[in-house]
Amino acid sequence: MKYLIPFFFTSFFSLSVQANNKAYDIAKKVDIANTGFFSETGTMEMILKSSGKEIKRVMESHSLELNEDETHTLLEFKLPKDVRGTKLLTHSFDSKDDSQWIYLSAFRRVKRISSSGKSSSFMGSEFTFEDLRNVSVDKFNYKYLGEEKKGKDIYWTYEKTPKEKSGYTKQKVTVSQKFTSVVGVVYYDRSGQELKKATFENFKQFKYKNKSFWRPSKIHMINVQTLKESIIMWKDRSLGTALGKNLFKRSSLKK
Amino acid sequence: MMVLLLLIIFSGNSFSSEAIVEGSVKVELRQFEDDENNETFESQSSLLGKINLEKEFDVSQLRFAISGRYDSQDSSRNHVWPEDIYFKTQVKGDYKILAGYKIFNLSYMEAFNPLDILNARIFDVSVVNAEKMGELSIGIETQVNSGTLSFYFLPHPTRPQLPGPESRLNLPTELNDSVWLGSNDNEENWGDHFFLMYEKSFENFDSQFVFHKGIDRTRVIIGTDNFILSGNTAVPRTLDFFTPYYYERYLSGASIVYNFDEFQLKSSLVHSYYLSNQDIYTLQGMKSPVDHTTAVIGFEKIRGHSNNWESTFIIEYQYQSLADEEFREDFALQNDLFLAWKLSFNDLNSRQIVLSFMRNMEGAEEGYSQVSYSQRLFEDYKLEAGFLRYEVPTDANISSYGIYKNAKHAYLNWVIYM
Repeated sequence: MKYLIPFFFTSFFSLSVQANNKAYDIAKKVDIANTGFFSETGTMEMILKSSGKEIKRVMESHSLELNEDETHTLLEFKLPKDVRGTKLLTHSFDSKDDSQWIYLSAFRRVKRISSSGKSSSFMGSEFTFEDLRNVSVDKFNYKYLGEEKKGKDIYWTYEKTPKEKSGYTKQKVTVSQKFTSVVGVVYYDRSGQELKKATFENFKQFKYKNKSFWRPSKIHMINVQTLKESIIMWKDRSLGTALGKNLFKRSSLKK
Repeated sequence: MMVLLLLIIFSGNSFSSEAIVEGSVKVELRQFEDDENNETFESQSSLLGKINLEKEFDVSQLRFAISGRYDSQDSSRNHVWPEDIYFKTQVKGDYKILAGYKIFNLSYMEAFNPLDILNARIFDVSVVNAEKMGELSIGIETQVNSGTLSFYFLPHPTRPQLPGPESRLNLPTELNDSVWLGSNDNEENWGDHFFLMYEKSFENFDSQFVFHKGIDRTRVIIGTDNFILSGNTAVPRTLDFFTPYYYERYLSGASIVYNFDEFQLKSSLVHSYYLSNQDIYTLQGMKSPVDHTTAVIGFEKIRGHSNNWESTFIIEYQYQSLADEEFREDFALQNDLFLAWKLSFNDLNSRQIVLSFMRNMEGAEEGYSQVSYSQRLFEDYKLEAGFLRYEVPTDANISSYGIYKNAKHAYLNWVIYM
């Protein structure tokens, strides 16, 4: 008996670690499947719905993979007209905090965004800056929740909790085996309550250097507490386009 | 001819991208306090128009941006000015060259930006955010050690747009044409003005280093150089004491922003070395510029609220090394503290309220407080409203803060974007 209890706990712990490793492995697999695209450009349309009103935002998006650790992203706003020309530059790192700057075209000024601003709303939408950035797999702890077969596809679900400061206490993530990509996220607020649900739809296949990439053309975010909705749709997306590094420099933000 | 040339350039099909044609019209209404002067107005209305044309080629860019204002009460505000009229292209390697009029923004702070001095301003009722005019520039930029090195010649300094006698600013009479004083009194030979700048971001830092030779357009002495010295006493030979004098100077300085956790720490350190020390007879006595150093420190914190609102708290303090208070009085901004709270509602219309407050920390009851509100309306419109109240000592110098006496006003702006 004296050996049984430790054995039970060891076995349970071992199973739990294996399960959690599976969640980590899935997240890592998704990460690997979605890297190596070199660069990505496209036009993002964001529809904001609230209290029966509907407003459209339009942005041009450019991303450049510098190495496994570092990705640079530039968003330039086209609509609404009062923020036309405003640019958001993000240098994302796996190993350290991101750096982010905004160019305010009305003031012709480049301003660094403090890291506390990452849980702020993006352009008044239900997306936050944190939702839109590429966050390293290693910045979370994982818990595997199970899998489900729907049609010919298998969907894995796991929970991830941030190791660093975040606007969320946890996220429940659903991954499609077919697309090797996230297809759904449930976000929980700081009090542990369900806050938002995102669904990733209309996957399209892109190819760069003999590697296939699946990208959603639409992300639908619903705030379950306020019932406000935001939808991001991509148009004219292309991968592997030649983009210069200088486009992603802070000094290049100014016109 | 110019318009025809622009139309040909911006409508041509042989270029690599479509031209951007955009603009805005702003209806500005201001209601001033009663200054008990029948010759000045209390209610003011004006129209501000902006047009921006842009065309990108493979490695080049052509930009044409001008602004113009029509004011029904104050004719000195009726003015059309260039903002950006330039051609920029990438030449060999990482080198970019630019020629034309350009507005530069070197500001790192919200209120105090002693390095942001490259453009002439349109002086109006705002002490910290005067509009800029484009500066004629011919420059080159390149990448050095992961930073950006820029060198610009400034061959023909743009003159600041000064308020006229109809303005609600506290000027007793119309100002004469401004006079610029420097190492070479012949303005035609001031083709050696330039600025050299290096900008670099590393880890959590943004940094900027500037060396500039040019006219100090942030500071003016209003008086006359037509006087004689009788012993130690200056005796004017005219009763016209209303000529603005600007001085040539070397300016060197640096700004840095450090981002840590939820905070931002900002600082600037700038030294001005004047190339002329010519005395001017003013209503406050003899004045001349004095070399000085300006230091600014700022702190910013963003705090999110549970309802998705967001607050930004800003504190900035400026210190000038001028030991003599008499010299400091020549500057509108001296040893001042600035506090601001910005509340962003993060909603569909980007509603925002800003409360700001500035105060001279040396005992003089000098400063301002402002409340402003803005929001988008129906996508193509924007509403801005606010109230600006100045505190000005009765004996304040009209070359500096005294100009804002009786400038307290409420404003309402309606912007239409096209």
